[in-house]
Amino acid sequence: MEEARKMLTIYRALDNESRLKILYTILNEPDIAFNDIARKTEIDKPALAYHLGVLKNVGLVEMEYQKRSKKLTKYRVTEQGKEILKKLKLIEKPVEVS
Amino acid sequence: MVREACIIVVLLGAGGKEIRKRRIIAKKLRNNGIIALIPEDDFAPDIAPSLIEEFIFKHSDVDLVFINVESWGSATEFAQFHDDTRIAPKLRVLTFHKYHPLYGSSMSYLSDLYLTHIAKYGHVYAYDDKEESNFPSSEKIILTISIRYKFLRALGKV
Repeated sequence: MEEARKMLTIYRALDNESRLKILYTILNEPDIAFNDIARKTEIDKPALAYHLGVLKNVGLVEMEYQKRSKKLTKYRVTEQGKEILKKLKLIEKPVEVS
Repeated sequence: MVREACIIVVLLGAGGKEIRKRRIIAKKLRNNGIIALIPEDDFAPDIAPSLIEEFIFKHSDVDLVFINVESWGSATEFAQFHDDTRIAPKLRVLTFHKYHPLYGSSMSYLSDLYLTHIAKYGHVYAYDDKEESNFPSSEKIILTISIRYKFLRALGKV
């Protein structure tokens, strides 16, 4: 039951065109910076921050932020995220983000 | 069916020890298959929180926003957004029972604003996390409402 509920949250997270676009962008370019995701996906930054928050919250992506060096946040798909995408047959081959 | 069976909620409130309370609530919501976001933990610090919140309230697929007005910041957030008709349907306001305009005795501007919000939209809930009265805890309010909303969404009623 717990596993089913977890999968439901992941499906809900993936059930959004913008979030899918963001996810594939990160998948194609691990450790990509926030501003670069915004540029490549052409998604407004407030919206991007929200969608990344959802993806991070369900465990599909992880964020790295180094405040001291003033580096921007970087994102990568988690191993769990890659496994789930493989199970859903969403990453059988590299996907170009249009 | 999938879209309707899982909802997204955002928990707003004060920092410090209050954020720990929100994290506990968020974990319980996730255990119930609800995506629960806490801005301080989940949103990139690259962009101002006030800008993200405006997007969340007006344009995102968030279902409910719980705001526990415990600080000047959260009071400002409530005052800024409470009367926007695009935002009000998603907003669920929590206030310590002594400041609730119907149950408490406070005569403050904020309590007066709560009364206006209740009259127009409803959804201002009194809580008591100290368990010194019969009012429920903020955790109970948030969990109960979120889980019910989730079921209503699954049934297509919201």
